[in-house]
Amino acid sequence: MMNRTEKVGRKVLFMGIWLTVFFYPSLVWTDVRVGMEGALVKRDNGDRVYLPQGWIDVAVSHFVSESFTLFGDFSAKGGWDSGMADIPYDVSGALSGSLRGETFFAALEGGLRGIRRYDTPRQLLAYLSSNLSYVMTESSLFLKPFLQTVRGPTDSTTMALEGGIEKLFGEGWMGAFSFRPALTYYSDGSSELTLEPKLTFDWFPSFPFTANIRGGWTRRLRDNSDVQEESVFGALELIWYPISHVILQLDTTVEKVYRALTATDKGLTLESVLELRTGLPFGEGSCELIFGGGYEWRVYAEDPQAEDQWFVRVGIEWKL
Amino acid sequence: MEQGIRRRRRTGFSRTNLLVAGLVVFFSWVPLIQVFTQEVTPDTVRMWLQTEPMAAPYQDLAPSIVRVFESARSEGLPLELLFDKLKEGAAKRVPPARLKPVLEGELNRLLKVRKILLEGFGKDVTRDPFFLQGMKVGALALLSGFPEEGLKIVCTPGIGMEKMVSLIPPLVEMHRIEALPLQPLSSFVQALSASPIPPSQYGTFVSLYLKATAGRIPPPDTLRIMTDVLKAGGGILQIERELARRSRK
Repeated sequence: MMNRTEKVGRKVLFMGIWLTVFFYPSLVWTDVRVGMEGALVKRDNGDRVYLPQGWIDVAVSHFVSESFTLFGDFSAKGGWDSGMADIPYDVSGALSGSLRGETFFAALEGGLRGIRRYDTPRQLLAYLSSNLSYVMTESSLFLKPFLQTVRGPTDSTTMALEGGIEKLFGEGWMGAFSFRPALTYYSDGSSELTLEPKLTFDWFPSFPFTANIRGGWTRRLRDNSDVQEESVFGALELIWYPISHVILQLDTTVEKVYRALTATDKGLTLESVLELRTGLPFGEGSCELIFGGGYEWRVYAEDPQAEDQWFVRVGIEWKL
Repeated sequence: MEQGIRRRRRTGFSRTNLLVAGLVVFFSWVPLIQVFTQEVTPDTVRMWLQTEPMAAPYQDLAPSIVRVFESARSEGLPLELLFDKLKEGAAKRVPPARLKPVLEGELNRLLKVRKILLEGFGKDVTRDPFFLQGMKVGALALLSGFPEEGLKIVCTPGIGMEKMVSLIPPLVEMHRIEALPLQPLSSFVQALSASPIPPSQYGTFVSLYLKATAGRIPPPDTLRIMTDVLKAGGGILQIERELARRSRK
């Protein structure tokens, strides 16, 4: 007898296969990458684990006309986690279509993802997202409806509608303001409403460097009335091409959380991930070495003991 | 009162002095400007090599260096750019043995660029006010490894010399990040030059291309997305958003 998760999983898998078969003739294989890496991870429970993994990423695209484009992304990553003594995996597939005109842009994307990690025994996720934009010369208004269903460990369904405005100002500067209300229903009958206004700035100078700064505030309401959690966050992402064949990427987030359920519980999280990709001189850029590291630090007001976790990884990726 | 008159007289005197001094400085610059803008000839180079202190290490090579300039002149090339290269080499204290090959390399690049410009824009291109700048950015592009075929794509009448001069430096930077495929490059260049995006904003495409590369978008797809958005009437904002959608995290 199949349980509910398996039934939904089969349905989603069937839909994925059907969509792939339908779109396959119109897609062209454009980019296939395979890679492997070894990572050393220190988790917040103090365990140090080894995580050797391999992956394959396939990106397909088909430019049907100047105004209509189809994309597909398929990815599978798996290996061995010495902490859970099992095989972690992350398998995903997504198909999207974009339609653009002089004053509008519309995109629709559907995807599936299956995950097994040390903190997530088994999870299947399916989503449908859209982007509808009214485009003006130096600004645009957008609406992003989003629907997601998650199966395992706790089943849930989320509906969200993000609306906002984007504007180009100065040379190479962009700004966006958005507001995203999201409603999540859990299988135990409870629900959660999340409200998130967000401000984003991007800088695109005339040299190989970009910066993205974003900040926002999130309020979570349990069963649509009681405030469960509030947080403010700020994030900075930098991409830099300092010397030939090297791309350096830094992503840092700071988040301050106020949990209303336990009045004294306030938390501060700092998360930072650095990745350096360098193309090897032989192979004309088809082979890249990856060096990465990340650090996450959390402290709660009611528990003076700070938690931290970090990882370092070294990998190699080939473009076939 | 007497003091007041004296002060006024002094003030009046200093103002006149200031005016006279200003005029003297202004008119003394006129012949200097003429000197700086006068046409460079092999004799100018010879004089410079004899009199310029930073050219001292190259005294023994002076005849062969002047011969490179004579050869450039016989080819009908303007010598200003080659002279700039000579001064740059001397300022960087390039070893004497390397200076002549450097100048010969620059001469070859300038000849190639002039040929491309003549083929692309016609023989009147040498009278274009942007001709010297076009020669300079073209030679720099070739020195940076930008392909000749790519340069030919940019040097077309539909684009024009002024836009070409603004387009080449960002394209060279983009090519340095990841090689630009030529076929989609041609469509992109046509779409960009026909778009209302001012040439002063072309540099933004360097960092957009970097973000797309970091987001694992293949270069042909990046150029195709940029081209299609521009053809649909979109601008930098729409390109960034479509590339961000396509990027893989």
